[in-house]
Amino acid sequence: MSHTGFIVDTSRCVACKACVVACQLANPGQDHAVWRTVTSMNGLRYPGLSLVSLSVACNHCEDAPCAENCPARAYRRDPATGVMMHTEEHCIGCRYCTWVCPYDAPKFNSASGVISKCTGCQPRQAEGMKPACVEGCPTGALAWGDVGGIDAEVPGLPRTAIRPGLKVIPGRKNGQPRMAVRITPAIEAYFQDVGVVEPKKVSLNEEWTLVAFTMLAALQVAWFYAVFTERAEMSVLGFGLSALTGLMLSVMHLGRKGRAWRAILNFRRSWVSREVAGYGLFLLSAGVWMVLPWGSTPGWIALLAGFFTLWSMDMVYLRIAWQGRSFLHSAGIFSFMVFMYIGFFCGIPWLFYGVTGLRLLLYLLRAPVWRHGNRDSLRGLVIFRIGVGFILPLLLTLIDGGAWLDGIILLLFLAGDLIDRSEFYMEIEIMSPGKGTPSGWGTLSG
Amino acid sequence: MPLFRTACPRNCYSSCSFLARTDNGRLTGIEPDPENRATAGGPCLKGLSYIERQYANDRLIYPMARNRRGGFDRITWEEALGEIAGRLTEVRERHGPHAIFFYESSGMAGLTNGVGSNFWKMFGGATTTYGNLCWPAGLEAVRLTLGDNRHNAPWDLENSRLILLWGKNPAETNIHQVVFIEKAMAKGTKVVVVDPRRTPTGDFAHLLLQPKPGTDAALALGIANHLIRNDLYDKAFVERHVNGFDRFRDSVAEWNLEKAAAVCDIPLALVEELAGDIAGIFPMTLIPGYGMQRFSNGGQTIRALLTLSILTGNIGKPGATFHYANLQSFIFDKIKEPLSYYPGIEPNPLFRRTVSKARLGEGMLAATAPPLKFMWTERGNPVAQNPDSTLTIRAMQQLDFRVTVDQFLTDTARASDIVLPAKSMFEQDDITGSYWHPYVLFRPKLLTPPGEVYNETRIYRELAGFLGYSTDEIDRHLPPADDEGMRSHLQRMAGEVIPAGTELFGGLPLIPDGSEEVAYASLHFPTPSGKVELCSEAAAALWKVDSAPSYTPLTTSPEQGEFHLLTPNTKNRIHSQFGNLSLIRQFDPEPHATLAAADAIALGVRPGDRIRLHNDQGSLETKAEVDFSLRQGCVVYCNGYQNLEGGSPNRLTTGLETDMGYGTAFHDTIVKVTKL
Repeated sequence: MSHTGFIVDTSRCVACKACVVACQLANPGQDHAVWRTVTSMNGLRYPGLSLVSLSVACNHCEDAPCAENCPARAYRRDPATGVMMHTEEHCIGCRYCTWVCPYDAPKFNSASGVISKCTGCQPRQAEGMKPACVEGCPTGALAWGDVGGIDAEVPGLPRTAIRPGLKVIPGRKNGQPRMAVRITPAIEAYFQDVGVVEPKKVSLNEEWTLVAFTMLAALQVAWFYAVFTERAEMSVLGFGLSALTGLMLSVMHLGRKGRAWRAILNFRRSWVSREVAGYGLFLLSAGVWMVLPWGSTPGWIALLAGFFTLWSMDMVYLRIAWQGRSFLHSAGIFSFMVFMYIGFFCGIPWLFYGVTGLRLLLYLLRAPVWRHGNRDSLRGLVIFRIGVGFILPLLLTLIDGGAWLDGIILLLFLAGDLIDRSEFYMEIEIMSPGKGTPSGWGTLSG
Repeated sequence: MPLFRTACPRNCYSSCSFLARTDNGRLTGIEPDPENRATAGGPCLKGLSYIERQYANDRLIYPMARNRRGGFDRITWEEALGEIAGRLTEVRERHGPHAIFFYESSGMAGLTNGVGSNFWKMFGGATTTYGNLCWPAGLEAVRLTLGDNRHNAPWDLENSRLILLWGKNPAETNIHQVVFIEKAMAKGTKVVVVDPRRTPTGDFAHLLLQPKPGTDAALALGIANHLIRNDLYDKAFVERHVNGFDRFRDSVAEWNLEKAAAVCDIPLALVEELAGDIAGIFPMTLIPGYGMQRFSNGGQTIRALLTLSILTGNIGKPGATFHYANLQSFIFDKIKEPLSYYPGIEPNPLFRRTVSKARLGEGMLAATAPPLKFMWTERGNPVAQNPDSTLTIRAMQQLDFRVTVDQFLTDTARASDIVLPAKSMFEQDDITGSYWHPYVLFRPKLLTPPGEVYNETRIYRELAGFLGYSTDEIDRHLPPADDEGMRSHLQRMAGEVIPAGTELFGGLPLIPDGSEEVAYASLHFPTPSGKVELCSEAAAALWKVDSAPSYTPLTTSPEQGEFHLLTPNTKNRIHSQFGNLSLIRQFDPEPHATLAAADAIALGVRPGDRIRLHNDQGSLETKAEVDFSLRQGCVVYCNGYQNLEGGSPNRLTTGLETDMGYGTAFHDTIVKVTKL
């Protein structure tokens, strides 16, 4: 099936950026979030690699992951033009669409707290005009028309099966100019050192609330399991306080907190909606079970909802591409964390030692993988995570020390998990234009 | 929302025609104008950003006076013009009119600019400038060789089979040329770029040669003699149309490809490939940029390049041209460039005293009898743009009073006592040409100036009133400042030159009668011999250079640990213009210097580190970037940064004239680089 979209002729694009400026002028309000980006692969101009520039905004994909995954149903396709439209008034500013879009089309506007993105200049097109970027391209490298569907693998663009409305006409001249700059082993090494700087879309600084929230949810479900199976004592006050904390943490992340209720609207398709709805149901039914004499049914519902929430959490991250993408991550919430704490809270040695051992093994296998590049400074954290977050508490469990020691062991495990989970967020490598291409390909400044 | 046709007046090859959309008197859109065949794709990012520039918060819309704290306060026109008139009268009485220094530059092209000269003549004269910052060495080289400066129409590039871009980066400085190059490439044309950098233009070339800066003439002469010795040149063309071949042949006898490769420090194989292309592919368009002739050997270098087009008969045919500057649309100039840059070319004795633009600070300080006391600057930013900023500032500080007319508080405006707000390109009728395409362009007044902006015509007329000139005298010397008066004035001026001028070309881009699509197609050349002057006695007489094109090493050469400073133009600016706009700054947020990877390793510099560029002239602290394809031994710091945003490259340059044409040898600059 063919559909309309942008056609980019890379033979004609010299990264002049007129398209970006034209877009900004025709669609004001992009001061903090520019819709169109010209990505130049090989911005450091490594000899032997050609420089290819791609002007990309939204490709209005057939199987658009933004719409699929948006919890608030802020995206809808315009039936007349096929353009994927985003309604800012519906957006809660969770930014998940920026994680799932491989073309970086949705842009988070920190000023307004919501996403905005390319509209294909629908208003202009309705008046018979071309999209502003197309009209503004002085070399004719951009067009809007029948794209047929992406025809080949495009260097610099992630391979996807989401059928983007983008046609890239490859450059007719294959390769870089013949030239004579010599590459010595020292330059090659320097390139490996400075050339692999890829901007991260997910930053721990911005997402620490998610680290805290996901870990808290795992603890809450594990603790509730222990209480429900009568292996731990109930504390309504403690649970209530943790519930409030969890709700606060989950909302803090949003650009528009007042619209948080919209987060469950896309339960049918979005794992984010499922996570949010599941968590709400868990808190509600667990609370009901604790304070109301309605028998065990609310408790069972709470358990199911709790596990479903944690499963959804892992699925949210499985939906995006990250290095070593696997359900079996040592910091996985449903896959490991919750069962370790269930084993701990309930005193089930085989479960506790089994899961903890497996997590330690996975961590050891994984740790060297992400320690590449300039992250030597984090080596200390790895050692801390293994020594203080695994070995020490494991040894302490061998001592019979009573409740205060159990408290220390729990804190040590939590400290280790905090590192592990933070690393998980740091490892997330989301598909972006320019990624997955030979090293050193990145955005050209200027 | 109505659309109006207009044209960009910036100092740029493209000189785009474009359509301006307005809504209730406000500029709302800028769109391509298909009527101009050369720029039909529409303006570049700078042209589009006029919407921001027109309404920018930092635009000056009132007269401003510097206060004691160094800031600027709004004053009235009466206060401004009263103060200026008082100062002018006092200086003229005590020191004579030549203590007034009138500095104008290329900030905005147009016929209305002539009002400045007319005013200062009425005033009794002033010290002015000679020379030019940009292109005169090359203009003079081409003039001496071909008689004047013409080249084939931009779209003729499609007919070329070999396009040799020598020190030109149209992808950033002439984006519309890329369209024609790309069309030629689609037909199989080979593109070769010669540039120490791998520019966005080099990226789409087939072959990139990266000579040592300032050695381009050696490359050309090596290939030239290779063509001669191996009988690879167009004998028929040379015999019939070229003067001085024998003398040239003898003068280049010592040159060959090996020597060229050694002097330029390029692998021989690449030089051989280029020589083979030049000998074997016809027609060739050779497109030299303007950067390469801003060396102390710039004129002779362009003459050396010309020999390649001449020997291969690549002149006066479709697809075959020496594509330096096309002044065919400069139909209103009484004296054409580069002659207009000669000191003393202005016949009016009131302008007898001139100061070199290339050695501005030195010339201003050296002026005695009378010394300079008052400076009036318009359409220019000499503090940032002329060599040796430090000396320029010192020379300005020696004056008693400084006035600058500008749209923004530039480095020069900040060094002034009174700054008068300048009109934008949308605020007065005007007419421009282009030095690339053949069109004459009308630029109508579309917008009412904001605040209290006066066009320069009105500024001068009102100032004349403050100086006590009668309305009769003013009318006799200066054109009318009102819209209708200016329009009929332009109609009269243009009509005197071409009939279509009386209707201002119907508002359309106009190719004047007699403009050649293929320049010199008749193979008659307006030189002393009527032929191509491969050797030029005039060159030897005027400039004390070899009558044959020759290679002269630069005045300075980097020693161990020193670098050639390259200060190219980027797509983001026209010299120091546009850098203040957020639409532009997003791509170029802070000045930076680019090092070759090998040099960065040697200096222990990583991208983002702070470095200092320094030499005897001055120093600059800036951010380091790394380019793995830049020629080793070069450091790139782009032209156009002002001191107010981190430092003009001209803190590092020396006031030096080119070998011919009174140009400016910015690029003989050597710097050291220190990691901070």
